[in-house]
Amino acid sequence: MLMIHCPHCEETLPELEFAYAGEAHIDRPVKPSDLSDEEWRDFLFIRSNPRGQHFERWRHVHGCARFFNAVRDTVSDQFLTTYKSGLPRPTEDELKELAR
Amino acid sequence: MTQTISNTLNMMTKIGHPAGSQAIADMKGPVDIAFNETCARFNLRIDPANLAKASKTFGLDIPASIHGYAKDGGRSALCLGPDDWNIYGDEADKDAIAKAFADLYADAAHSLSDISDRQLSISLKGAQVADLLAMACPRDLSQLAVGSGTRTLFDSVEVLLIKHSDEHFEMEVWRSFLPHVWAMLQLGNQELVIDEVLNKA
Amino acid sequence: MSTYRVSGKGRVNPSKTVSFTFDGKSYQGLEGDTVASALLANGTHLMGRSFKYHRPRGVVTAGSEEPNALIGTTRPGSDGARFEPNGRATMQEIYEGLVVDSQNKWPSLSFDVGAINDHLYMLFSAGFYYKTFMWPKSFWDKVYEPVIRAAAGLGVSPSKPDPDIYASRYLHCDVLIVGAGPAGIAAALQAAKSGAQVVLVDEQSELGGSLLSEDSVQIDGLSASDWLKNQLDALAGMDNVRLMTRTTAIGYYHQNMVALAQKLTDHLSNIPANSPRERMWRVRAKQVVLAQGAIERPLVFDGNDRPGVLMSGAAQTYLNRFGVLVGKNPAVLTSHDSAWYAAFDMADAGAKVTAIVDTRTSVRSDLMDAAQERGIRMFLGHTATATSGRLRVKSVRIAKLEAGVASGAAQSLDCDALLMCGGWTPSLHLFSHTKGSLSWDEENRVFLPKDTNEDCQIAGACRGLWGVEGVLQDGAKAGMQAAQALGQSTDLSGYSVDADRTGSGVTHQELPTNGNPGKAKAFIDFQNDVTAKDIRLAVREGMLSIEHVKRYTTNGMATDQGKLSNMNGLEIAANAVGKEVPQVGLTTFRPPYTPTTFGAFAGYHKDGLFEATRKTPIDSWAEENGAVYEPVSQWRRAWYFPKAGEDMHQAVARECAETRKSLGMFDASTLGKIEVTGPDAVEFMNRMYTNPWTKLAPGRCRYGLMLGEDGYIMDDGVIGRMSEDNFHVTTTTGGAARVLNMMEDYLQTEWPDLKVWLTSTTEQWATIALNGPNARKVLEPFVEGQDMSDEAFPHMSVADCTVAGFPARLFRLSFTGELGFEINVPARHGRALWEALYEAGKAYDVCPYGTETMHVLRAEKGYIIVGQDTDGTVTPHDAGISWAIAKKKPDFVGMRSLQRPDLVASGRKHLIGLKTKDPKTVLEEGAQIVNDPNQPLPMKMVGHVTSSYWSPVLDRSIAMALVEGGHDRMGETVYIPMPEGVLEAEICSYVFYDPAGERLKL
Repeated sequence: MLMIHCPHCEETLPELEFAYAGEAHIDRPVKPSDLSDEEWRDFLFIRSNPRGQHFERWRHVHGCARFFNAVRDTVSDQFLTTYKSGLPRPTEDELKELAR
Repeated sequence: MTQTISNTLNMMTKIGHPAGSQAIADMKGPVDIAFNETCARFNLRIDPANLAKASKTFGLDIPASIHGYAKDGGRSALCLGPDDWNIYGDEADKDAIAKAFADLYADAAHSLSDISDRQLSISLKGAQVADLLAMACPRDLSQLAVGSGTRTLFDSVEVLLIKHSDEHFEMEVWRSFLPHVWAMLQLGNQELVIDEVLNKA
Repeated sequence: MSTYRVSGKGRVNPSKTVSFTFDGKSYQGLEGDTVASALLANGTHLMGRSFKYHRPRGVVTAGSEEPNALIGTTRPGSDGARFEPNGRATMQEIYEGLVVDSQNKWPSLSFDVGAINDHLYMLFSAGFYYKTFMWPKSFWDKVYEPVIRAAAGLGVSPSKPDPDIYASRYLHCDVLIVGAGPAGIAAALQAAKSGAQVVLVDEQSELGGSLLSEDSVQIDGLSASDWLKNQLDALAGMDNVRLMTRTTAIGYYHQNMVALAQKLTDHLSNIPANSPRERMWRVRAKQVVLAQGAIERPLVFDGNDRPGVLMSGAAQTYLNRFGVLVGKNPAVLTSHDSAWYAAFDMADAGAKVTAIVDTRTSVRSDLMDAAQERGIRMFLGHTATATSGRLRVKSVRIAKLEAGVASGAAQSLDCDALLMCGGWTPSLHLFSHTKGSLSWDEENRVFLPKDTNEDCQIAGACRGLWGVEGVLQDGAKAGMQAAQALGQSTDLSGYSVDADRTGSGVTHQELPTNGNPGKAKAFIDFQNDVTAKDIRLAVREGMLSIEHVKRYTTNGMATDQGKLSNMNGLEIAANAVGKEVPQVGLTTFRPPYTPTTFGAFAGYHKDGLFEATRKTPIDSWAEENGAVYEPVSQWRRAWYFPKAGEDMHQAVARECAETRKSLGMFDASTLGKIEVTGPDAVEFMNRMYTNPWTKLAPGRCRYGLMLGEDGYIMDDGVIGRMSEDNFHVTTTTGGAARVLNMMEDYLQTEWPDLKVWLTSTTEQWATIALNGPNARKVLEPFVEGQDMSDEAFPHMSVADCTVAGFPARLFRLSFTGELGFEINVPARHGRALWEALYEAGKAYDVCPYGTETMHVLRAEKGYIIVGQDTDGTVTPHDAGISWAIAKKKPDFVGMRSLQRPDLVASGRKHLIGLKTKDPKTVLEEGAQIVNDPNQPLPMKMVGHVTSSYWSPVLDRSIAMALVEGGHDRMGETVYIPMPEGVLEAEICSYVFYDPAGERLKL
């Protein structure tokens, strides 16, 4: 069971309180009807699935109930960082620093 | 707890394998487990920028940070999320609280939902209360400050915990889960007694 | 007193004898004995039969790594219910009346018919599963497999339900120390001194580890046992220290979570009433110190599995901890100094040690002097080539080694026990669970811990150290490092040790032999009967990866997980492959460290607490009135209410008929309810649901359909507009949490600008549905504050009012096709309202009905159930409910997807009605549908039945089904092949009853 830092509660808490919610930084298009079939397919289904650092969403569902973003290493299962939804991705330099 | 309410819970009366099943009513332990009186309970959701107005309306400084809990006289409030509070008052004040917030709505839009019956409150008192909760709560409750509260899990059931002191917790449970949670608490309480016996054995 | 007990030795209680039985025969041991030590005290080495060859086997170790002495235990007075197979005699403490049985033998342990397998070695060699029993193929199912299954295997499964309680507990601490030998104790003392919260655990019944077996060592001027007692007393006296015995750290998981399986009562003859038998601790430690010690490695030679051949360290433990000589005339065979000390201890306790045979040509002179003093013969530079004795070793044959080859005349040494030692393997199990990397120590030929990502220290013999002083210092250092990592500093404690037993040694593959290597039975894995030959055969047959060798030979795959065998197997495999050991690599260690009961994993979750069962406020009434329940997600719901003599079919038919005829009532409290409030509530609803909401007036309600972003139906429910800014949303029972989660997701992450808030009110309300032509007549007298006439309160209306004096949210809607109302009252009043309505309803023959009747009535009307008639691949068009989609909205969740090429393609499966040709035949839900029953197999399946019932009002069966192109095939016949024959059905509209909705207009 992982320990996950909730950026809203500002506490590191048991994974059981959290729920995974898919890849992060995939914004719903403002006007979906403007998208081609291919663009809409990519939005719906195409995910990066990396080996290594993965930007993903979690919800502190049995705590403050907020969705937030995280960077987790899919090899080691280590969380590099978590941050509130709507904030930009950490830069590569920041992640390198965190990975140390 | 009134008979009317206990009637609607249909609590589990026995636990265990049919051959050796045990009446829950017979389980005794060091932690005093009891239902708290029912109260007026609302879920308040409001833009934190308007919290001061809500506090004024409610007549209590509603805590702004998650886990924050405040109590004054018959009113209390617990911050669950950035824009999510439970607020409590005496049952007799329910309509007055609802009316006050209805009057606030035009000035500061919000949602105030009556959840007085959604969950029930259990009082847990005793020196071993933390041990009892540790049977099924994954959180390190020593890290929860006295005078604060949180949503968390107890045996995979979502509950709300308020830590009044190191030896006094309050647990709110949605009513449909109560038969299960109550049975678990009673079983765990009994286990604390058996631990003592085993330690001596 | 039994013949092998040494008085004055050991930590057992000589004044307290304990009786138990082994294979029906009564034995006496002493309080503090294990089954193994008590049997050895009685001169019994033979404790089991091996897995494959049924060879007689004796106890080999004194710990949890025991491969041979597996037993079944039965608690007396439990009528066989408290039976557990595959326990280890070395770990099971005896108590008065304990019933122990050996395993894997027939008819008896000393004469076992299955031992014939031993002579059929060629049939059972490596990979025998894959080659021996391949022909004829038809024999596999009927002959080979049943025979192999009957002959192989270890203990038998318990045949009765487990009556015991199992517990669990979370624990958070600063420092968890695994293993309470000298390293663990020193670490605990050091960490505790810093003020840290310390937990020290050990799987044994006593803390002390190797100190329990090494009393001659002097620590800080005290005997090991006195020093141990002082330190344990000190630790026990500290508030910040928790000591746990009989507690095995079974797994090390992410971020320092360690699972501990604690045995609470398996050692007690009288169990406190209602005591849990075991407890699983889930420990989250800021720092973990692993001090698991090392496991002695067997030597591999012909006959090394003969009862009486055992590890030298085990002999030392049996003597020093239990006061038992494993033999009076033992011989020692070793490649490591440690066995010399075992020989000395046994000699000093009165045994006549035949000889010490060491494979090394030179040994420390102090050891040789000590042997000489005791009159023990020494054979340096010798190997063992065979043993003799049927049920117990009688002699060992040795030969001199020249340049690593056995040469010269063999000689036979008589002995009644053979103590072997092939070196020591550091225990890296938990360290490896952390994905910690290992390094190869070429000099000592062991793997050592290297790096781990966890906050973990590792100390003592499990990182290759030897000797009490070094281990104590190392433990203290680990304890200090743990404290420092927590920001606390302490002075490092030092220890002075006299008469320390340091040592070193060498390791071997198979011992050199001048016997016929083809006939040698030199075992590596005792439990799975894997020999050195098997490993070499596997490599010859092409298994080059150690993971393949393991699986092909089953080396290390038994319940002991190769604790004794892995390193010997690896050395031999590496040699056979022609590579260095680290190039071949180690197989993966996985939890649990030792076999763990299902009960310990399940914890409280059995019988009534198996999982949380949700109950509605009306559940108690249903129970009192004979309801049969069905589980619906976590809820239990009244399924039907049988009257005396009724079966389900009859009860449901009656409930359906009475509801349509007059009045039925139904507990709908489980429906999900969400309060949606705020100035942007209507905009939010427009975006979340397919339907238009802007023009829905307060006081009115509407069927709402929710799609996933992929365009498939996700949920539905009736939604009431309570005021301009407030909606009462209902969801399916199972979808409540999912829908709220999805709504919050969009609100928090896509549309944070919307001023709207959500609250679950599922459990705030008890919901009672009244349906039937007389519903209004019964309800109206109870209602205050709402005109109940059809004009004032038409179909699809909602109002806040008072019902039976309770504040209520009243809906007029119908899921049955009859005049219907759903009354929501605060949950505490649910049962009172139900009873009031039931009493009043008696004038109209009111009928309480359950979920099955609800399903039939809605199916007659063609109302879908999301999750039954849809499966996550059904669009609104597929389901025939395109009417629920707003035509003019710019966007809603899933709208764009409805134009996806696949979703507008022809040939999609459509939801349609089916009428069987024979109206009495009720189709089976899930049955597959074909167009042509005469086509060759495999047939093309064009759909399946989603809902199917007997309709009392229509006096025939009805069904709904998803069928390719179904909407365009009205009137066509399709076929449903079933085991008893092919059924025919006609495609029709799924609105079977009152298609014009006349019955709602009352």
